[in-house]
Amino acid sequence: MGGRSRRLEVAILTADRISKTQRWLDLLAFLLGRRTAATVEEIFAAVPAYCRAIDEDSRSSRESVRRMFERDKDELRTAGIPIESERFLVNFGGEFEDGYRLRASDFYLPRVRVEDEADEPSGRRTTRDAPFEVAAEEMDVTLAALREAADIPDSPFSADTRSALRKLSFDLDPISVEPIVFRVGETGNPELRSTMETLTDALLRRKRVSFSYHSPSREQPTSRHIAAYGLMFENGSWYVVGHDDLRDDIRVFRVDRMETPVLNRKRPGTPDYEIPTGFSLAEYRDRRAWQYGDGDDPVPVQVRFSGPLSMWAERNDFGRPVEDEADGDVRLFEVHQADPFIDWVLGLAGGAEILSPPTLISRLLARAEAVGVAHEGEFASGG
Amino acid sequence: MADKRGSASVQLTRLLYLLPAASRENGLSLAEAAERLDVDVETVVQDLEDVSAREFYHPAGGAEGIRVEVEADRIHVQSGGKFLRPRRLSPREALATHLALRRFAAGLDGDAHDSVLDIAHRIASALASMPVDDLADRISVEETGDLAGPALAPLRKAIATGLQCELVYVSADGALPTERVLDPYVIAVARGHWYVIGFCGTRNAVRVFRVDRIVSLRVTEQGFSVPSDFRAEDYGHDGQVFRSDETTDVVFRYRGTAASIMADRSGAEVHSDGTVSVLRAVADPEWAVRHVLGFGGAAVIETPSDARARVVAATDRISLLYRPAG
Repeated sequence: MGGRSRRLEVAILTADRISKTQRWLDLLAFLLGRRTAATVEEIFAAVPAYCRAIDEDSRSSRESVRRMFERDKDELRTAGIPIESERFLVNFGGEFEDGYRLRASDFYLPRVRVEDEADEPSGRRTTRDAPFEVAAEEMDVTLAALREAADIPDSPFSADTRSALRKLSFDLDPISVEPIVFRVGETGNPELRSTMETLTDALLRRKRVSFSYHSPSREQPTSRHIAAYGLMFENGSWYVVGHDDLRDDIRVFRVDRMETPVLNRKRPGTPDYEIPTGFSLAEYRDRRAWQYGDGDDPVPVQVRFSGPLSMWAERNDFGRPVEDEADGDVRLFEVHQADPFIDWVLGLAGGAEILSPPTLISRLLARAEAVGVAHEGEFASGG
Repeated sequence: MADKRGSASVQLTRLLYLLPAASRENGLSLAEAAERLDVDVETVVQDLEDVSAREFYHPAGGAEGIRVEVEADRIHVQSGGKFLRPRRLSPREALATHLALRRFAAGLDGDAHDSVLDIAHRIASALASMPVDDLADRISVEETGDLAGPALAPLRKAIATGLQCELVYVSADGALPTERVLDPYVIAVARGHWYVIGFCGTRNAVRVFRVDRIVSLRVTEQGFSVPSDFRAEDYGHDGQVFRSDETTDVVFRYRGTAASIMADRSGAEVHSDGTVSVLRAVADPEWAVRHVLGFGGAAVIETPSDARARVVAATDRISLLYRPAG
């Protein structure tokens, strides 16, 4: 960047040109500079945007500034800045006054003290502002975990993850540890990220969400209305799990098959639903496409794997071994959705063979024949 | 000039990091600030101008004043004893940290797994502005599905400690499993599939292995170091991981849901009939066959013709499997 100096261009501000960020910064600076709670009058006198907007002759201007302060306080609290309300006695105990307080120990990040193994624990008492003591190895793990998570494509938490990484490394010397995991070709998709933001907002605020869904088993998209119970990133894709009005049951939706998600904007401060206490996201994790069913009884499917692939199937717990098969090559699957299962077996290119039921064998053969026919001769776009 | 500051909340988040970082003895360069905050230098300058502008409405030398100087493109801040530290982790940052650590723990075994979860809880209780609530159980980024495979945890350990591995690998072509000695350099993830890239002592070359196809693995006591000229990026190609010594261009045509997903991923134009053509460099011709078979008719190879012929041969082999003996 060389030795160039920059001159900051600053505007002379009147009250109505003081930005919201400047107003918030003024409010925080004032509250953090006090050891006791401040009354609303003290806050109005100290924060220029409030002070200048009050016309002493107008009661309505005072009410409008009060509403502005209430909105500011609520938004800052929502962002996690713990402004406390306090009620205290004034006039020699004659009356109550409401006040607001922001404790430095609740606001500022405690110092992070990284200890080598040889270090003795400091024995410091644990207080809200005591240094956070962490072993060097633990801090390495934490930073590595944050770096990896920041790269998850289309994650609604990417910016938060990077921000946490900045804060947790604030007290550390610059470090350059080569990452163990790197992602290929997963740069993210703005449309998908926007859908993820909507779904995350819906989940965090428990607001219902509607969207158009392209199910792989249907030609036409269906209109869905759900109460989101959970979000998960599995096998390179994002999924939302929630109660689906159309099926009146819990369903799993792949986010990249959704279009035009719309959040219920009515009564924004009130949740639309409660997440059932018995709901567990873990029950929906680690599933393959054929395991996300329509609630019908699953179809038992026996598959024989060729010699080497049987080791792979066993190692990865695909299905379970059929007990009366001595060599363990035959495994039993509980299949909720036939199409993705058939595609999976087809994709093994003959390394696995469906033994039963006959209906699935017929469907697989029909599909294989269609793929074969589509590849005979030169490609024809209508074929 | 376009306003790049974003919402007040986003700008405040930046400032509450920028002010303490630039309050330190040596300040902070504009370039460093921009890099750390994932914004451009102009946005940092606009943020600083907003802070400086406060001087015009605060009494000179007032307690709320924050003095900002940019000299030789280095930011120095004097804030009268305030904003000398970043603020605590916000609820979303604390949640993100918790999810990141839980994800990391999922890739580890036994005590290592438990100790990472312990750090997650300690950070949430000591450094967050408020507790991480049950939302942490409503979101999962663990990625521990079967495309990762049980070899992932020991591989992470081997890479972190620089220790050689002995493994048995089942390749996709149905050949007999092979024993390999591997110096694992890095793990790569592409479209949900996990790979390890490293020096294969058996083949005396750098090779790529799909983690779920490693059917047994032992971390040895033998150390290794990663060559300085190794670049993981050289092995990533258009969402696939492979050595790029010899590749063939294959054009795939997708239809239905697959078409819209591929259009989003590749940016390819959608044809008038709703299908999408995607050109991919393919290292293993049989990969292209497995790829179209796995789409069960929603994908077709347009060119080259020998790749199309391989698909026909594969479907013939599959049909033969189901033909009654004799």
